[in-house]
Amino acid sequence: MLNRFKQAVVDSFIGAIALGYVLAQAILHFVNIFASPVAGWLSRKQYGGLMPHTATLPGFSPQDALPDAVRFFVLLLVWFVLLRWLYFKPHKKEIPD
Amino acid sequence: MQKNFVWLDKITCENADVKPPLRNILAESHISAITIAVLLFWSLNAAFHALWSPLFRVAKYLFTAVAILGIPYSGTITFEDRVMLFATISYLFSALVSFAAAWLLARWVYGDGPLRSLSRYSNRIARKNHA
Repeated sequence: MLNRFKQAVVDSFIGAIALGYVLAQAILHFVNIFASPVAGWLSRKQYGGLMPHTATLPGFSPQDALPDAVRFFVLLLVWFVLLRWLYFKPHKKEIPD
Repeated sequence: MQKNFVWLDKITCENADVKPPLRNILAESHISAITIAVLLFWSLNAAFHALWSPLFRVAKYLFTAVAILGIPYSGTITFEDRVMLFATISYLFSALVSFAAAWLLARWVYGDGPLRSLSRYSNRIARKNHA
């Protein structure tokens, strides 16, 4: 049952499309791990004037990278598990009788 | 013989337990081609979003110039202009990153640029379907 489902997912390209999309998402989240703190710092600098002066805004904060880091690792894990399940299959040679 | 996946037929393994490298799996399972296509699409989408606001502003300026038959008033840089500039730079960065990711993946998997890789890939798929 599970093997038939796997075969159907592979043969219908649904697995390839899903894995391709997840890989693209993971790549962009990886880049955002480094870009998010810079973007956060820039937007705080840009729009900080709109906030009341009583609130103190942090400057460059590496914590901004945390959501993207979590997303990247979860997506990569899901991607690798699915890839291993669907496509990592050692070639089995036919043994003649 | 147990039905193996199509991509595995192309990989020659002497040992039955040998697993093909990740690069071959990505190439033969169509995953890398789809990833490259998705990244290129996102890159184009981000580039379009980046250029939309400045082009709209330019068009508005030109139409106003034609309508009043003169040079429209353009004051100092406002807060709105700064927001638009910030959004444009963000979108341009996204476009650049997506394209760079597509290029790197294409170079690693196919040894070629993203567009040429996709073109060769579509030719291969067409040949396979034709056969």
